[in-house]
Amino acid sequence: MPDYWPGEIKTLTFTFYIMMPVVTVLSNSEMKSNPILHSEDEKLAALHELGIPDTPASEEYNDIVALAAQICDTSIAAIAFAEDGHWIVKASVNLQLPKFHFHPALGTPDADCVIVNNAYNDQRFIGNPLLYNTPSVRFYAAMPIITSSNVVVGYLCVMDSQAHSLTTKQITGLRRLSRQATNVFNLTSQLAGFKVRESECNASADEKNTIFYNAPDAVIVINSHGTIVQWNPKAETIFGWSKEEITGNAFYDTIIPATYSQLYRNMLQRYEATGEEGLLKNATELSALRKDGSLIDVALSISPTTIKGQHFFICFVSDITDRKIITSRLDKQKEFYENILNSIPTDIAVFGPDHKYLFVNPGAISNEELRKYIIGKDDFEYARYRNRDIKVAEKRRENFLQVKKTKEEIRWEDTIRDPVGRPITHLRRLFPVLDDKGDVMMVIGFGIDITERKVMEEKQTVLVNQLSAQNKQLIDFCNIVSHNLRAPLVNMSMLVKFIEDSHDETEQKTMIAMLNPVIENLHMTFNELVESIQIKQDVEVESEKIRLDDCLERTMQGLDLDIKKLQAEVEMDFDEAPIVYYPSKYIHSIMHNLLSNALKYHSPDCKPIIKLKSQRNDNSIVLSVSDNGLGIDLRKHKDAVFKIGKVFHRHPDAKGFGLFMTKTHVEAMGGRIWVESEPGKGAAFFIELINQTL
Amino acid sequence: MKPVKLFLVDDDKIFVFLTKKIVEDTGIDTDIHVFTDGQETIDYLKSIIDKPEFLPDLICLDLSMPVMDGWEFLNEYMQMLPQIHKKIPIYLVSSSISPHDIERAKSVGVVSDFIIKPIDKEKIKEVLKNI
Repeated sequence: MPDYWPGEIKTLTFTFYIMMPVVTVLSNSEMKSNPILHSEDEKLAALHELGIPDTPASEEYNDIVALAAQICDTSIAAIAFAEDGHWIVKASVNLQLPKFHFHPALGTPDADCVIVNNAYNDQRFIGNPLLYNTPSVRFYAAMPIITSSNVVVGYLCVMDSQAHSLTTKQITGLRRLSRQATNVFNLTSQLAGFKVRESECNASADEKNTIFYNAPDAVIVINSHGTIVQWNPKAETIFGWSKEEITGNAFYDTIIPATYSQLYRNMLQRYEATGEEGLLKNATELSALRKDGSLIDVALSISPTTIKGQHFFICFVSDITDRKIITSRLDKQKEFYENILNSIPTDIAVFGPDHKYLFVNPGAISNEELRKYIIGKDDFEYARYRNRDIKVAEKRRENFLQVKKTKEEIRWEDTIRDPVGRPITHLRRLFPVLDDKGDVMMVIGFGIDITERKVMEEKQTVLVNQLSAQNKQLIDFCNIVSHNLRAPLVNMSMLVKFIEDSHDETEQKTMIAMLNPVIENLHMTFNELVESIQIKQDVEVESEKIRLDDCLERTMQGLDLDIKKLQAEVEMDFDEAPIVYYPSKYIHSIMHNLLSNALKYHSPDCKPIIKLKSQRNDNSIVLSVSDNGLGIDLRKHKDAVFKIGKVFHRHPDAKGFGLFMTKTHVEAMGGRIWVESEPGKGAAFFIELINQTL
Repeated sequence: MKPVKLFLVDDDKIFVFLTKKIVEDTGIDTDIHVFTDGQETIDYLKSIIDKPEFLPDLICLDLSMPVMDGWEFLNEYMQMLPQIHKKIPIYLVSSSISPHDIERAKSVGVVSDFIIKPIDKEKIKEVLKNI
């Protein structure tokens, strides 16, 4: 707050200063319809919005104020313009204040001349610093300075320390001087505007030059004839030519090697002729020529432009030597690892988190075209494309999702049959690769052909099973040898002793006759034991594809007499698994034993009905033979059903060999045999045949 | 003196014939009842369990038989034992020479002895005299 403001009117003065209204004038006639802006802030803001530049000072204003004072015969005159939110005195006569600190129009809505004959008596001057100025103002008249766009930008004022008045001529003179002030204002404003633009242009040119000279890439400007017209310092560094040396030379013959020269010439010519940019703007990597004749790897892109109607081409050249070296090293590394991945005798596939293929090696897909096709696709797309079973894709998706969910490796074995029916087994592993956050970044799949190992394992399993079965059967075997062979021998020895001891010829003959069945029994037992030993020793028995219905037919032919005699019904259902992969003599023996048992132990109360069925269960087939015969009391015989010599019914032909032999056959092939039965309700024998892949 | 009642359980007809002959040769008055398997014997024993006079004085039991073998017979017999109010010695008479069978036989309380076939007059006499 200025210190010359009297304390008692400070508040009032302040209010006056702030609230002094102003009029933005478009024209005298329109003025009254325009809103009145009531605060000094508002009026100055309005001037700013109109873009009125700060008014430059001018000698002409001094002449105008001098003439105004002279015409109006006043001791004080001034011109003030709106500037920086204040009314600034630009020229004056006898006025000490640099700022008016009040609105020169004094709150009148009239944009025309304001005349205050005696400020002492005028309410508008209460608190006005002009009253306290030296000399103190009594008379005050102000004429607005109006721009061509009808905006009041300043005032021409005349003042006097004495009360005063103006004649019509003086007012006209003041108005004319005001118009002159407007002209001066307009001209100086325009001049100032030109200077600003010139300065901006210079700054812009400097900026462009700075960019051009300090660009990290070579920037070369060539004209429509291919002649180099601009060449920045980076171009000098890259190519070795100074600007002076290269300017005026043909672009094609200097830095573009002969192999590309014609290509670029054609491209530029075509642009000249058709305006088509073609590949000009695309960054092209090529080896460019340096001054010393050496080649340098660069990326070149050309941007056509028109300056003052003439076509020019701005060429941006980046030195990519380092990038090339790194890329080359990366390529070599990639080639190295790909060679390993491609030569490894393993299926390898890499998947993204969306289960799309990122990589497959020739072990996984030998056909190169298919290998390219599958990248970016998933197993479902591949299955459709190759017309393959979609179940494989479903199974793989299931495994993939499991790995993604658990973030842990999984492994499983896949077995398929080759065109000749041999099983091919792969051990597959799927494991996740996690990123820093622990999310699955990719999933790597491995597949190793373990067919040979599998075959060996299966052989080993069969061998182990055989050995274990043989070991287990050894005790049984001891029993059968000790009992079944020894029993007839004992009888023979006892008979012989009796014959020797007897003196009765008839008795001797009777006992001699008894020797025959004993010898026959011994012979048969011996043969059966030999047969079972042979099975156990037959480790390398060959499996083959056998139709179960053919096998049953052959078996039934052998049992034809019994079937007819008992009027037995034999039903078969081999639809689910019509073919088994098994040693022929084993499957025939198994079927014969089970069918003959079913006939032998038929119920006396009903006609025998025997049902044979095959059921597939993953990799195995279960063959069942069920009957409605006598059945077996499993509560008593559960552990002894398949023991050698075990007989459950009093049948003249029962010797306890059939089930023992069947079990021997089944176990020799690594399978299982079990029975479900109740006395009087028949029996059902089940045989599991393993390694029965489709 | 009442004849010795012997239950001979064996499916081997020739052995049964010869055993009968040997027993006859011992001169000991013996009443031989032949059964061809364990089940037949058990069924009969059940039918006479309340009539001690019909119970045997001695059982000669083969091991390998159809339907119910000697071991199964012994299991069933052990279950019936509380109801049989007579001490009946059981001799296992088998052509088995398996040590396993012999050991197993010793573990069954009701078995008096394990006799390996063939049998002779002296052995039978000894057994019959012990009754």
